[in-house]
Amino acid sequence: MNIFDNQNMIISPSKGISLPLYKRTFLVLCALVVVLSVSFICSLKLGSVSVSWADVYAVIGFDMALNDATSTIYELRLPRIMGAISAGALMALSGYLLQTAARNALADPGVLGLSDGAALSVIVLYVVSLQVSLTTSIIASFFGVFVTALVVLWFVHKNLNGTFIVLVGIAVGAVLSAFSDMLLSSVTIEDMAFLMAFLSGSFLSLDLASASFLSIWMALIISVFLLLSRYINPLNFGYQHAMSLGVDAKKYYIFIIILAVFAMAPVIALVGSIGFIGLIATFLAKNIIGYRGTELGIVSMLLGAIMTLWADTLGRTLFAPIMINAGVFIALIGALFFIIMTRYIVRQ
Amino acid sequence: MFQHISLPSTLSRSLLRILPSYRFLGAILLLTLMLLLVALTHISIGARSIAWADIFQAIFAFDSQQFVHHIVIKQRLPRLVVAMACGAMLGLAGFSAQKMFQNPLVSSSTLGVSSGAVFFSLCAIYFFNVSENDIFIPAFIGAAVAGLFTLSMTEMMNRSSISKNLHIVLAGSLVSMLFSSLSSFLMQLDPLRFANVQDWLLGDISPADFTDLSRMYPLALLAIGILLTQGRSLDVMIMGEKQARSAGVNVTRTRHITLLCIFLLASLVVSIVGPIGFIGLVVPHISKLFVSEVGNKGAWLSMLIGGLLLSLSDLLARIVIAPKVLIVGGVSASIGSIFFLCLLYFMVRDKRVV
Amino acid sequence: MTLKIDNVSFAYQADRKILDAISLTFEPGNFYVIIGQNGCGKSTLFNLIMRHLPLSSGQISINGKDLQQHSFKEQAQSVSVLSQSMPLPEFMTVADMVMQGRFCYQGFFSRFSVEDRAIADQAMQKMQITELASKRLSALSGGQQQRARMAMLLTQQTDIVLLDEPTTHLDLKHQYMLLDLGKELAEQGKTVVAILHDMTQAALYADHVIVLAEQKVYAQGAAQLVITDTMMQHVFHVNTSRVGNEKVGIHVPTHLIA
Repeated sequence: MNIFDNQNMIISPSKGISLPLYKRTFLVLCALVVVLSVSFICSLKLGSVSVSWADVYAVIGFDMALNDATSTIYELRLPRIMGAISAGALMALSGYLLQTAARNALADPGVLGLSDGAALSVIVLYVVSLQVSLTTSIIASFFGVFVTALVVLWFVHKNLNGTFIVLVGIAVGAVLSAFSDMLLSSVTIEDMAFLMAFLSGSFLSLDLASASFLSIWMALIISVFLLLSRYINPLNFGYQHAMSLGVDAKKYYIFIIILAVFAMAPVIALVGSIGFIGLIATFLAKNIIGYRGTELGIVSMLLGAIMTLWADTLGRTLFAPIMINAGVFIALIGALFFIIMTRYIVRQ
Repeated sequence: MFQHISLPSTLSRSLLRILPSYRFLGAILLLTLMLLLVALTHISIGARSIAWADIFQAIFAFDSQQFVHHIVIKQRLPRLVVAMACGAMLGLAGFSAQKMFQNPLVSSSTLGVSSGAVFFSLCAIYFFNVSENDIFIPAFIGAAVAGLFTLSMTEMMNRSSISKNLHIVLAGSLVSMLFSSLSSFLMQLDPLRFANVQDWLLGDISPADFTDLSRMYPLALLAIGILLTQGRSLDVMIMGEKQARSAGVNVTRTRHITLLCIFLLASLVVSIVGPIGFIGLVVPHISKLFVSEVGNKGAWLSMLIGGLLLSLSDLLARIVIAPKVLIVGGVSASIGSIFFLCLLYFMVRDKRVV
Repeated sequence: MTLKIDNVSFAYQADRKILDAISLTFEPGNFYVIIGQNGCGKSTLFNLIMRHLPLSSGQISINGKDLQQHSFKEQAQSVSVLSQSMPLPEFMTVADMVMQGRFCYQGFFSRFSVEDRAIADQAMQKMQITELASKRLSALSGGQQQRARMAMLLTQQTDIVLLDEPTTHLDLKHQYMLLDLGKELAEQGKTVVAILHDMTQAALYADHVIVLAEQKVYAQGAAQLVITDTMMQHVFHVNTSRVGNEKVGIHVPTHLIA
């Protein structure tokens, strides 16, 4: 029995299959799934409209009999909760993938200005056109992410893994959010309140349809991630050495970036500019379970989902009847975290 | 050596061909003319267009019977004067900051100072029921807290002196982000209470008038005066801390005093018109096109350029999408942040960055 | 496997040639050592072999087959490199890093077979880092990191092994352990090519020494023949005198021997 057998559970149903799983990661995963489930149920109960446990059980048991309480849950809370979980997982994954691609622990859609770019595109869309469908807003979001990514890359293509890319990302994000602010302050349209909330990221306006879409999207992206995750470990050794280990580095770096973009774009289109989830979730995950491509991704996603869910739930309940946008909470925690992280990183 | 990151070098080269002493006078003349032009246009444009002749009449031969004269003196002129005064203060603060830190990227907004001032002001309004007109003190405290926070973060980050320039700006951005997210959070707690500061938050000159000015000018003049007296010490400090000390300059005291004045000026501006960003960033660069940063010529020029720039921005904000009105803060943030990116680009190109 | 470098040239820009029409053949069962001044292109040669840089002209082949024809996976199974410039992810454990060497033999479902684990464990024992297995890479000293890199290389089990300054950061005991290991690999029939800067070690271990100077191969052959005072003068610009016997000797700067 060597050290590998000691530390890992090996999933080996047959001879040709052997998948490693840190024993510690297994425990952490179980714990996180439990936490997520409990959070889910609590979030259904908590809120400014009081709802009994019986009603919650009814909803979970798909009891279709609607009364005031269960319809509150179905129409108002369930979409927000599903949305928050999916958004948290997707943004966490997106941040994790960006960090792998840039080999920089500070990379994240919010930090690099990508969230601001996507949000600006969607806001422009709303200001310009009367009818905005789900598809068009997602396309606008994609467009925003791509263009912003190009701008940031153009500045830093030589030096992806220092603090310079962070500065450029923040500066680009500042430009884009200045434009968003200016745009919103100068026009009056139907959905002003929605757009103001959109700027900081809010689950307020999610309906069941968009929340379901986001959940399905999350499932899709996770599947693709699992297919690609094997390559993440070698990619951490840099472009050249990944090639030495046998990975077509160029191809897989591009795949990873594209997956990151696909993960974040629909979220921003529906929820607004949220960022920092990837930063926080991945950092915490690395400290808990160390570094292994697939496992780290999954744990980050779970942490991100839990975090975002609670940000939304606390925002709804802490200062009831006032509702605070989840995005504001996350931005606050993110800023604090960022400050702590920079001190930690530069101390190395 | 003077850290001289300037706008495209062809422009500065052609200006530098003019002799130094004539350059300064020429600059003053040119800028004063531009200032007059902008001032007149600023006053004449608005919901009701006023002819220049009427403006001159209103100023020099005020006739209380004429409605137009009222608009000019009671409404438009104060707004213009406030804009120019605030611009001057921001310009000088930015000039002094860039001179002291020898860093072309610093200004009261990039150091997070304005965001801190805003947050503390909001706290005062929310927790202590301070009226919107009396927020200078909390603004000043906030400015100081944020500025000092940024500086202490920079100390922690300064392992290699090569990236020093970037570290302070990075720290400033993070502090700025922290305080703005705190501000957003606070505002969400009671949207009604903050309903009438929405515009101020972006940076808005329109509601300002002479009462605001009268409250701020004593402190402003004091700060400006002190900064001008520090000019010579700052010049010597450009050589480096050790050399300055051996030349007899009390480096620590100069730093403290200069910082205090910068915080003072920044918080004065924030308490009246809100956080207007990037004027302090842009102005010193324009000033360096005409004169070097040594001596007080640059300081005076910065005040002139600052006043000009802010009035111009306010003017643009009002006419760009007429009849709708943009808010000055938004315009200056947008243009200024693009300028900041360009500065970063030039720094990378000239390899002043790791 | 035989590694053949055929008329290879490389230049970063048109005017700055790093390597000019170099031709070398590396046969299995030998320990080759490449020496030369800093910046003379030794590491660049390795980069070209590993396809990190594109050839300006010429061809590199393994057992007759052009390297460009190999897929990345095939190449990783044939040739591996130990390099200083490889960044180490801070939070990765030593055990995981060593296991990365097996990547090119694994598939989607088979990432941790019994064989993989045994080989990785053996490699760690060989490099004497078994007790460090659960430590994070950022917590290791320079020498320990270097040994971990070597262990990763061992698990890759390639027939051609390239070592770029493998003794860096290592204390003396581990330096000789690593060089002994290199010799052992060569005796097992592998093709081992090392870049060394210590002339003494080169002379002691190499079956074959190659000197690179001025974009070309200055000399190659047995150590005693190649490492001479003339060569030291021409290539390294140091006046030396040989001190020792016929079997073993060192080249000492003349001005130190009165």
